[in-house]
Order: sequence, then structure tokens, then C-alpha cells
Amino acid sequence: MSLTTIVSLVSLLMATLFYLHINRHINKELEEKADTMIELMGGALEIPLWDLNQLAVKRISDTLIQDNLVVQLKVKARLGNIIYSIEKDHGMALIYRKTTIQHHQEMIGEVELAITKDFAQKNLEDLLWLLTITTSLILVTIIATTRMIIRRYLRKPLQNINDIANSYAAGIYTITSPLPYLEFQPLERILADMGRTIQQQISALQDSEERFRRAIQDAPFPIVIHAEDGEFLMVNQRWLDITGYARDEIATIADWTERAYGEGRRQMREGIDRLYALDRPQAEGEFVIACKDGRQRIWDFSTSPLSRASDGRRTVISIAADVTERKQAENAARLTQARLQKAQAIGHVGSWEYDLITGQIWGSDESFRIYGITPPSDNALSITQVEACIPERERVHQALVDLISENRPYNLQFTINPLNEAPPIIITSVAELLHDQHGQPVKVAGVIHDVTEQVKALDALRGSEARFRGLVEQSIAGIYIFSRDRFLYVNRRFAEIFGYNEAEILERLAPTDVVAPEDRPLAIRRVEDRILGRLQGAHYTAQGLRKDGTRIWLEIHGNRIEVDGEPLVAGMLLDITERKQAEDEIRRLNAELEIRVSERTAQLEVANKELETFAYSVSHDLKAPLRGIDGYSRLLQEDYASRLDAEGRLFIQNIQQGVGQMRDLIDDLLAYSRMERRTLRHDPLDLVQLVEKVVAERAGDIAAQGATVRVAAPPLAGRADPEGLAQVLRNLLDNALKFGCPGIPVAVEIGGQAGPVSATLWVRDNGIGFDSKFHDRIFDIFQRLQRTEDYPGTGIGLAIARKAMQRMNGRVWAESNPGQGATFYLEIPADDAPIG
Amino acid sequence: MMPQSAESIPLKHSHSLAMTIQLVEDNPMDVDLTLRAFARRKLVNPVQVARDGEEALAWIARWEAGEPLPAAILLDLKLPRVNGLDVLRQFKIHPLCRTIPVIVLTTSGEDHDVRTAYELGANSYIIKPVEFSRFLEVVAQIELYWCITNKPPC
Repeated sequence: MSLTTIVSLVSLLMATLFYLHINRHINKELEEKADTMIELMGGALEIPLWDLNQLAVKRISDTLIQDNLVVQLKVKARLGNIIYSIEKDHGMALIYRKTTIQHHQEMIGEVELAITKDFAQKNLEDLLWLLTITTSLILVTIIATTRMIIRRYLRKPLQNINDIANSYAAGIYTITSPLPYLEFQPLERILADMGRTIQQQISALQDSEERFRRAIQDAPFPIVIHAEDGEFLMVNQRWLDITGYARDEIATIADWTERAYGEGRRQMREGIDRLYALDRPQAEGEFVIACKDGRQRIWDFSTSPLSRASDGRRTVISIAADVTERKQAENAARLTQARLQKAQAIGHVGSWEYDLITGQIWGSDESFRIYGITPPSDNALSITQVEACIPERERVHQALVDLISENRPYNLQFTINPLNEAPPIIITSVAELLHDQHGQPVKVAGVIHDVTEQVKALDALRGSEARFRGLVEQSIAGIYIFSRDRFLYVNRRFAEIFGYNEAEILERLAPTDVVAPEDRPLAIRRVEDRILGRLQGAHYTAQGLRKDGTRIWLEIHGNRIEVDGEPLVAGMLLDITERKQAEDEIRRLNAELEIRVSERTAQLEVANKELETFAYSVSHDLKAPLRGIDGYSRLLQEDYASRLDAEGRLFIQNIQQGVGQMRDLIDDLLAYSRMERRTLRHDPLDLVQLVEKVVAERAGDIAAQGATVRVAAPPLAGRADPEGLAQVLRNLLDNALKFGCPGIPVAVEIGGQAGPVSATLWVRDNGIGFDSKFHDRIFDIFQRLQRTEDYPGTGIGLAIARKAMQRMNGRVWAESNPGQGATFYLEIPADDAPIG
Repeated sequence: MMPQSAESIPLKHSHSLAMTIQLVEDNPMDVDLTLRAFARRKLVNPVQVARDGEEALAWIARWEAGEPLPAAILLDLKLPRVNGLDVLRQFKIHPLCRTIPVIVLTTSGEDHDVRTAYELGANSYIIKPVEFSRFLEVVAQIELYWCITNKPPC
């Protein structure tokens, strides 16, 4: 391709040079031709111009202009007047010539001409095109021919070279396809040499690597080679043997740290990651690793950087020495010593030896600690120094003497006062006599044991046991412990309850013997439940059987306990016979009472019903004669007035007044009875609105009386029977209007207040009030505090109010003092109160 | 002392064409006072009285026999033998006389009585006042409304 480009560029350059050269040549020729022409014209026109023969001038000029090259011709006379001028179409490139025409050295005219280069250039371009095409054709032909030749003859050797290269790349270093043509023979030889050299080098490398690998693989200590990405490139047999892991279980550092270090793996991993930056060997120290079977080994690691792997990863070889056994041995020795000391310290046991020959006592650290003595460097002291701490030193010393002289057993408990003035300590001391090979006593070896705490605890336990024993013995509950078939313990009260003595129970009775026959299945079941552990504790009542055959009621609380592996039941029981009888009596009385109550209720209901009917009938039947009395007294008054004197008319008035009172009484009684019987509603009400309605009803009376009634209450809501509550308010308002102080206009104030569960309304007046000792009476039916002449009324209004409030789940009460007005309060359930 | 029989009291403006008013009332004094009250209003309609429930129900047979229906029946509730509510029930289920206006005129203001009366089809319920003056007013209103203002069924 590039060859073609170069060829083309060279061709182009040559063509350009050729063009420039030809162009210059043509130009030069045209210049010469122009010179010749202008000279010829100058000569040819001399005579005609002189003769002023214009026709001749024209002919000559026309002849010249016939030439294709000449495009412009101008002939001027002496005075500059143009005799001939002609101009043809022409291109840009022109050559101008101009000359004067002289005759006898006298200027007689001037001629100008221009010739064009167009024709010459056109020819030149045609030539160039031709040249270019020809050259291109030749070039194409040459290239095509060459390619064909190369393909034809070089394909085979190139293919063979390709094959050789491929087999080398695949690691086969023999030449399988020889190259053709003599010219390729040297190349073939070079390739063959190359193959052999590579093969030799590879096998040398393999040998070396194999030796190296075997060395590591068979090395007597664990070795691993790992790459920085965590891959275990190699793990030797020893490593696998010791740890017990299979090769594929520890394919990576992560596998290894996970298995060998468990919890510590993160830390280990970080440590290992730092190894890759090493540039020289390093001893890492000892690590505990976990083997597959869970055993732990201690390995002492050292690490060395290796060269990078063929893929560029940094690699490290880690070599471990298994120091487990050595370490264990070291530790064991250390431990034995430490354990002994620890054991002595924990058990507060000290060991000692008395050397009969030197009279010195050697003691362990703990021995000295017990005595409160700082141990000397050889842990030895004279016996007198030691005995100085023992208040009973004579007894103790005598025991030692007895041991040595008579081999009497040495086993003592005594108190010591430690030298460091710590509180006294109680110890037990046990010792034996040691003899030499000749049977001569040489040493006394013994141990001392600090038993202060145990002695104290035992004392405390004895005290505590005595206290608890007292508690149990004296308990008013019967306390017992029994196994499945016999009593192990009973207290005195237990025996009393059943009428036995304690010995009889313990010796003769099985636990079920003290249970009444009919309750035995229950008792046996409960005992089994606990003996078998199905139940920890049981609480039940059952009937017991006394020695004399009488039955008693028992309340039993028994728990399972275990003593020396034997399941037992321990518990207490109470004689509840009296309580039970009392309970039965109460139950019986209750039942009786219930029956009586229901009987009484039924009676009351009947009586109520009768009373209702009675009240209803009485009220109505009383009214009819009353109407008669009133009617006829009225007729008497109207139709017979003229025949009655003043007294007779007064009688009639009194009759009518009596009728009026009777009517009011009956109406109020009816209202009261209706309030008792009516089905009440429990509607949410706007209380203030209701108050205002009642006040409006009484507007006429209020105005007539000159009274004032002021309603001043916040918005209040309550749940009540609208008609019932209106009736109550009406009665209270009427009372307030009625019981005014003489001569003082009545002023009533009705107020209210909302509470959390109820609303309160009050009606306050400035009337005569009442003594608060009558508070309860005023709400009773027919109870009046005033004489009828002074304040007419039936004594039923407030009773109706109380009845109504009761039935609406509300309340009415009053506060007053004589002469100071009265305030009546109404408590009405809030409108969200439950209906009941 | 019993008052005079009601029937014997002469009606001042008796009119043979006027429809009757039937009064069911057991108390003779009430009967007397009612008639007197009507008399004071110069009632033109003749008044017929039944003294107990049975007597009142006996009217049905007479109406069936062709006697003209009354303009209205004034019915007390508390009656011997058959009580007023039963009488009302009988009247109001009877195809012939169910259209007759029945005005309950009684002393009872019990909710139960009022409700039952209207349920049975009473056309009006009036509580008899005790005071004679107010009783007179009530009778006047009844006369004005039921005998003059109201158009009875044809």
C-alpha cells in the first residue's frame, strides 16, 4: 500500500516538473513569436501608413488577425487616431506587444497586438492527462504481476514457518514441516537450533524445580509457600500430616487462618499480609494452631520472601517448627509447681517438715501465710519460733513428742495467733513420722489446714438448725416428711392433729393411713405425682382420719424434695375442720338468703305493681267526685247566689279552695307516681337550653311576681330524660319563686359547671331558706317545713325531683341557712357517661 | 243526692235534623255536668248517653239497623263492664262506624292511655279538668269544633 503511495507521489512530482518545464518552453516560444509578429507588422505597415493607404493597412491587418493566436490588433496614425482596431474573445493569459512605425526616422504611427496563450496551454493539459493515464496503467500492471508471483512462490515456505512457530508456542520444539527452496535452508537451521536450546533450558529448569519441590515436600518440618492474593501455592506433606487437614481444605490463607486460628484469624491474617513486603527472612515467633481433630499445636514460624511468581504475585515461604512437645514439657513443670502452690492457697493447706536432726521446721508458702510469718529465703524456721504462735503449745508439742517417741498418730485441731496479728485461726494439723533406710526416725512430715471458716460455719449451722428445729417443733401447722410408704418426720402438732403420738406415726403408719378412705385415691395420686416428679408442689384439701376414727378437714401443702437421691414429700397441713364448718354454714346461709331475697323481691314487685295500680286508680277515682264537688259548688254559687248570705258564700269558697288543694295533691301524687313508673330516656341534652326553656315557660309568673331570674351557665351537656329534667327544674324554679322573703323581690340565679363525669346545675334564690338539719327531710314525700297558709304546696315537688334525679343516675341536694336563701344542686351524668 | 237524669234536661234549641252526639260516661255527676255544660253552650245537637261500655257497643246494632250515625262520640276510658279502650277498639274495627269521630274525654293523662287511644284510632284526646270553670271551657271547645267547625263523614 505504502509502495503504491510512494509511486503515486513520485509520479505526481515528475508530472508537475514536466508540466512546469513545458510551460516555460511554450511561453518562451510565444514571446518570440510575438516579437517576430510585431516586428513584421511594423515593417509591413510602414509604407501604407506613409501613403495613408488605409485600405492596404486594413488588408495587412486583416491578414494578421486571421492568425488564431492574435486576439487584439490596434493601429494608430501619427496623431494617435485609430485606423484599425479589432479584438476577439480571449482568455486571461495574454502577451502584449507594441511598436512604433517609423519612416525615415520619423514616427508615423503605432501598432499594438496581443496574442493568447490559451491554445498552447490547452495542448499542454491534454498532453499531461495522457501521460498520467499511461503511467498509472503501467504501475497497476507491475503491482498486480508482482503480487501474483509472490503468492505463487512464497505461500508454501510462509505456511511452514507459521507451523513451526505454532508448534514452538505449543511447547513442541521439533520441526515437522521442512522449508522448501534453497534460500530458506539457513532459516530452517536457525529455527531448529532455537528449538533445541529452549528444550534444554526447560528440562534443566524442570529438574531444578523438581529437586526444589521434593526438598520442600519431603522436608521434616512444615512448610508452605503462599502468594500475596492468599493462595497456598504449596503445602508440604509434613504440614498436612501434623495438622491433619487435606490439601484442598487449606487452599488459601483464609482457609488456613479460619481453621487453624478460629477467633484469632483476623489478627493472624493481618500479620500474614505484612509478610509480603519483607525483603529478608524473619522469625515470627510461636503460634498456637488448631489441628483438624481439635488438638492444638504450637508452631514456631519463620518466613522468607521468595521471588515473584510467573504471574507477578509476590510469594513468601513460611517454615514452622513444631515445638508443642517441648513447650508442653516446660509448661508442665511450671504448672506442677504453680498448681501445688495454688492448691495449698485455695485449700488453705500448708505442708511442713520437721527435721529431727537440725530442729528446724520447713514450711510451704501457704504454711507461713497461715502463721502470718513472712517466709525466710530457705522457708525454714526453728520450732520454738513456730510454737510461739500457738496458745496451747504444750498440748501440741506433747503430741509431736508422742509421735516421734511412740509413733502415736498426730491429728490435732488448735488455735493459732498469727504473727502478723491477724485474727486467730483454727487449724487442723496431721503428721507422720518418716524413717531413714535404717529405720531411724529422721523427719516428721505433715500438713496444716486452715479450718476457721468451716468451724465458724458449723457453729452457725448448729445454731441455725436449733432455731429451725424449734420453729418446726413448735409450729401450729402439722409438718411432715414422708417417702412413698412411711413417715420420716412429723412434728408434735402433726401427731396432735391426728390423735397419735409421734413415735406411733413414725413406726406404724403409712402416709395414706391418716387420709379418710374416700379421699385416699386423691391423696395417693398427689403423692405419686411428686414422688415421680410430675408435680413439684401440691396444694389441696382432703379429709383426714384420726386415730379415734373421726374425720377432720385438712388443708395440705406438700413439695417434692430429694434427699440423698431419694424422692420425698415434705410439707405442712392445717386442721381446717372448724373453718370448713364455718364456710359451709356461711354458704348455707348465703343460699338461704338468696332464696329469701328473691322471694322478697318477688313480693316487692307484686306490691309495687299493686301500688302503681292503686295510685293510678286512686288518683283518677278521686278526681271524679272532686269535679262533682267543684261543679255543683260552682253551680250553687252562680245559680243560687241570691239565696245565700255572706257566710254561705264563704262556705262555698272554702269548699272550692279545698277542692283546689285536693286537686294539686292528686296531680302531684300522679306526677310522682308517673316519675316512678315512666320509662326514662337517656338523651344527650343541651342543659342550658333546657333551663332557658323552663324559665321561658314561667315568664308570665316571674313578671307578675316582679321577680328576676338570671341564667348564667357555660355550655353544658348531659345525658338525661328531657321531660323528667324539665319537671325537676320546673319544681326547683317554682320553689324559688314561692319561698321568697316577704317584701323582697325574688332573685333567682341558675348556674352550672361541667365536670369530668357529670355536669352540675344549681338554682340559687334569695328566699327564706331552711335549716340544714332538715336537708334530708325536704326531699321526702309530704314533708313540709312551712304552713300551708303561708306557703301553699303539697310537699311532693322535691320528692319528685329526687325521684327523677335518682332514676336519671343523677343527684339533687341543697345548701341553705334560714333567711339566707337556698341553693339546689343537680348533678347530671355527662353525655358520654354509660347508660345504666 | 243524685242529680236529675240527663235525658230529662230539656235542650233549649233541639233540632230534629242535627246529628246526635253520643256520650259514654258512667259517673252520673259527670254526665249531668257535661249535659249542663252543653246546655250552657245552647247545643242544638241531641245528646245520647251510654252508662257503660256494653251499652255503648249496643249502639252498633242500632246503626246497622239504619239509625243515622252520630256527629261524634265522647268516650270516657274508665267504664264498668267493657272499658273505654275496648269500646274504642270495637268501634274502630267496625266497617260501619269506624268513620265516626271518637273524642276520648277522660281524667287520665297517663302516657299509656294517650298512646293506646291514638293507636286504636281515637280522633282526639281531651283531659277532663277538675275545675268546673275550665270544664265548661273544654265542653265549649268540643261543641264549637266537633259540632260546628268539623265536617263529619258522609
